[in-house]
Amino acid sequence: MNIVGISACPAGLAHTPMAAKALEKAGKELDYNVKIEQQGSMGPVNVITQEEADDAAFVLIASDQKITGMNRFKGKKVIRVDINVCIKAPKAVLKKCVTAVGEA
Amino acid sequence: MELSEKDILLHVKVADRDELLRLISKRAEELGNTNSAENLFKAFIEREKDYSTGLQEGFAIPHAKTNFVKNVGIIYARLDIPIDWETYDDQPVTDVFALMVPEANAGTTHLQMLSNLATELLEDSFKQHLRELDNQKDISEYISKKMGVDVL
Repeated sequence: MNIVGISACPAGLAHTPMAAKALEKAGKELDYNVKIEQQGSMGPVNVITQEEADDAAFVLIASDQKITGMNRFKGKKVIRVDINVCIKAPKAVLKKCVTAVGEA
Repeated sequence: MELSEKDILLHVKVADRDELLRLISKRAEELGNTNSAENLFKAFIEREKDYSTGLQEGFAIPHAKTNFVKNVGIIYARLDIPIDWETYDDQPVTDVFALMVPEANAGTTHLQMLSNLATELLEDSFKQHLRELDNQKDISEYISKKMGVDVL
């Protein structure tokens, strides 16, 4: 399963990369192909292409911040999750999202 | 950017989070990261209001992004007495990485290094090894190595 997402935090310094790495690592362990774009202080890092967006089962937004480029995900199921929960329990977050999308 | 021994504070004894952030801000002023310890302290506190920077297993990563920061800096403080801090696992904090960044033009390399440090804090091996080191020289060298732009 392909999953894409975006992380962003208030200062864009620490939690943005931490959430992205945590989710990608959890994806590997659960055998999902996870790619998270970081919208932090360096500008967009690890940018999700339109093709990747189209191929994704759903979009995971790890943030309560304003996210740019949401038009890439038109028609996709978008799930917003608290960024701290993504760092603390990334596997549980992915599993829950996958279940939620499956049931929809 | 490399950490020097002066950026490492060991055997810190403080009563609470605010006292620690004041101490770190004062050190940052001495080291030339800021001209105003008071305003740096306020920036740390403001960021904590968004949500706590406490992580888990005793780590916290407070940060200040403000024009009062002149040079990007990191201060690592290891506490003798754990302090209360809102964390993911509700455990008190003993190891603190304080990040200081100017509002603009921090430099991509510096930001990348801070990003590397933040993601290292997800790794058990980093936390374990760091805690095995007990002097400022070894600690500053280890953190610098782990932050290296190649580490990503």
